[in-house]
Amino acid sequence: METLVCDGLCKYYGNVKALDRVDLTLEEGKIVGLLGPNGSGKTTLIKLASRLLVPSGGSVRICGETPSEITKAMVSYLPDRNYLPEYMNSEELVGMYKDFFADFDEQRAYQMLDSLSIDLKMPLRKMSKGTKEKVQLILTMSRRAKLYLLDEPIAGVDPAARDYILRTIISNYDETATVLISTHLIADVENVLDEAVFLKEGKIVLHQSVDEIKENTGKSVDEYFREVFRC
Amino acid sequence: MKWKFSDDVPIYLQIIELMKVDIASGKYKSGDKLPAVRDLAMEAGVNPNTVQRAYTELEREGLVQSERTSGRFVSIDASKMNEVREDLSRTYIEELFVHLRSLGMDDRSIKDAVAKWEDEDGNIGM
Amino acid sequence: MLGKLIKYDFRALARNMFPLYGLMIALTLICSLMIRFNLDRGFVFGISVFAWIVSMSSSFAVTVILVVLRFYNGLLKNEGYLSFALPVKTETHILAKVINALIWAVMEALALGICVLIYAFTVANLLDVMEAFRYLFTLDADFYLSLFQMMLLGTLELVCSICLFFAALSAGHLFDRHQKLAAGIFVVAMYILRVFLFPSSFVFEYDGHMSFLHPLLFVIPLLLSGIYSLVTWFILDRHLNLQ
Repeated sequence: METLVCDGLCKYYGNVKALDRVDLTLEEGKIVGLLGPNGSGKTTLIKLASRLLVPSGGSVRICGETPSEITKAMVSYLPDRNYLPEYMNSEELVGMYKDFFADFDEQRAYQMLDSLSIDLKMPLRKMSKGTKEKVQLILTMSRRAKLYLLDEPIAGVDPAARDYILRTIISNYDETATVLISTHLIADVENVLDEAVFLKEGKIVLHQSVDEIKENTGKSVDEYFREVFRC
Repeated sequence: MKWKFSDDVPIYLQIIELMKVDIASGKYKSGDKLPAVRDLAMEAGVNPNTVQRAYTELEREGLVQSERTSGRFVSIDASKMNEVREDLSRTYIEELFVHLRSLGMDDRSIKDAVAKWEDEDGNIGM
Repeated sequence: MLGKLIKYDFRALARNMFPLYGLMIALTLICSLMIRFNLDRGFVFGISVFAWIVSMSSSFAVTVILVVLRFYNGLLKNEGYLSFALPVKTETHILAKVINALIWAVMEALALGICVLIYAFTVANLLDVMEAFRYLFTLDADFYLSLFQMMLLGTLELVCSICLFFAALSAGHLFDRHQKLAAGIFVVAMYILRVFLFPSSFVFEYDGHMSFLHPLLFVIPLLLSGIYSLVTWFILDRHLNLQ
């Protein structure tokens, strides 16, 4: 089953082509890295799939549907910033996610919060940056979504938190879901990826399985990436 | 087990090798249960599909058997175990020769060096 | 989903509003009691009365500002990433915000009503208060009809203003920089445009039944609310520009 299909997808901001005729198909059961330097169009692609943006041309489909409130119920989106109300605490946030998302697994969320010994009554604004990002990830991964869109989930956190975040992703997605992780920190994620998509100036320059890349080039994805994007 | 992977070889191949080492060394014995795909993936910090692929390959080679409900088990007899051990040792010796040849040593001096080698505690290699 | 959106917006605003209304009511009580027990002179009384008057007279503006800020923070700032990821149509978001504005207009009226009652029952003579209530019942149907129409008109104008603010903020959001400044300019421009397009002089030439206000008075804010909301919807749905 195809979870995400982009067909000639374009997004222009004025004269700037943020995405230029992107064709991309993601299958279910895969963890895919959306890899590219800053400004290559990673966030734009994710925003188009979560319908925060409308395409300038071409189409994007999620499980066959054009992005709408129907696909939003199937897509679990983690933005690249703090997007939760700062005054709310974890308990209230869990309640809110449960209210709005039918696929939210409350027990799983509490289990993960508990394993991190996060004080359920502590409002977000009192949490450290790293803890805040973990709470956001826990909420995102506690949904039983068809497609997870994780925009830079490991940027700006320490290596231990990175490790925690990646393990949380691995342990929570199931075979019928697809995870798309955008990042420019390739060395940190490549062990968990099935496939890598290289995005360069709004165009896809490579979409291959990680094993293939290693077998064909004898290089790690990170090394290969540096070669492709050498300035 | 400490999971540390090198970057330039597909991880599933590295997992296969690590499992074979454990089997050849007797750490895993015939009939022992292998960890579930997801548990091993979590422990090693890799994608579950990668572990799945490694397990499938081990099954294909006849070192592991899967039973529908109860999981995967090591299935190996003495002759098969020797085979795995020989395979691995051949690979390691080959690597040794590749490295030492790259230092400009000829095969004769490599053999001499191996014969004379002893580790830090003075245990003699040969 | 509409109900849930309203619930969370209500809670978000209640955090700020209830303490504010509480303060206003407390100040009313303090000042009324001071007057009642002839403590109505000196520095403390002066400060209290000043705070009381400021809180009463600014409470409506503060309510409007906070309602408009909730729209801005909830949909156009970081929280917008969450709001627009919810399985909810854009129009439902806008409707929730408008309904929330109305709910808080009612809450504001209730808070002011409580203040008036506190003042009436502490300062004024109880018999006078009773007399005033009795007088209300002697008024004829025409009075209540007019009162109802005035309240309806006030509500419609409030909705219209809120929708105008929403549209102006959304339009300002289209710019990459100086979004709030742009929004402010849009507010002024839209008010001027309204006066220009819909002058209210027709009211004075109206020769219908005196108990009924000119129908256009109701139609215009309704029409404008629709137009503003359409603008808001178009921008949020098609040209969302979250940064």
